[in-house]
Amino acid sequence: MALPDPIGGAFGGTWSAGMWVHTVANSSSYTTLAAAYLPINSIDKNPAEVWTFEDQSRLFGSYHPGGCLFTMADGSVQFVSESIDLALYRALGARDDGLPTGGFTP
Amino acid sequence: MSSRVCLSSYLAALLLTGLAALLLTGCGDDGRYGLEGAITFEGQPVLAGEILLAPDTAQGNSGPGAMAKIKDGRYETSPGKGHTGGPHVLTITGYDGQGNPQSMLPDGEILFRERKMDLDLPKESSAIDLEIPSDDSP
Repeated sequence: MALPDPIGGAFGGTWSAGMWVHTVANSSSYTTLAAAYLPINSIDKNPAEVWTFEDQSRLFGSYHPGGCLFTMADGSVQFVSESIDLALYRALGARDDGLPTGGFTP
Repeated sequence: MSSRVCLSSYLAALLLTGLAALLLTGCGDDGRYGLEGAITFEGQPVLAGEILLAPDTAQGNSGPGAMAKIKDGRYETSPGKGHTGGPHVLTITGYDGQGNPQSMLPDGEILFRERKMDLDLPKESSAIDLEIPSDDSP
């Protein structure tokens, strides 16, 4: 097994980066549960379709139209629009970038 | 009295028709633009995969980004969830399309993974064909 290679480039912190693991059989998968890497709700699925590791591990989503409810680390629940700026969204998911999280419009 | 009832139901029908028309046409220009086209790898159609379209912040662009699914040699952004125009970085992963659709890896084996491509996208729906070069090309 090769070394895992974080996706998401500049953001190494928790929620904004998934981990991709290659196996010997040249198949591969992500190993995180979810990540703020792909735009919210950007993979269209109906409940009958198979959700793959690739889908789940890089995405937060919901069946709510227009966005997704997030529980923040302070315990508040906020609806974040799926049209939120992607760079801002990823920055919000980064634990260790030293940037403030206040003041954004969810 | 009956004429008022008639008028109001007529108005209601008119409103419903207008609403249906809005829904069907997707409300015109909502600032999200579709992108589609053919996609090939080393000259062969890519059978499965995906494209992430992320606004290029290095060039001052911003926006929500978009995803496009690759299927049978073509890709297309999701309806109503297109890009917002301007410079974007495309991250493209292709699969051989031979996977078991009921498995957790339904797209099969990887052909190429997370290839980057810079594209200045127009502020309108458009079709752009993409060719992914082989690994060892310059």
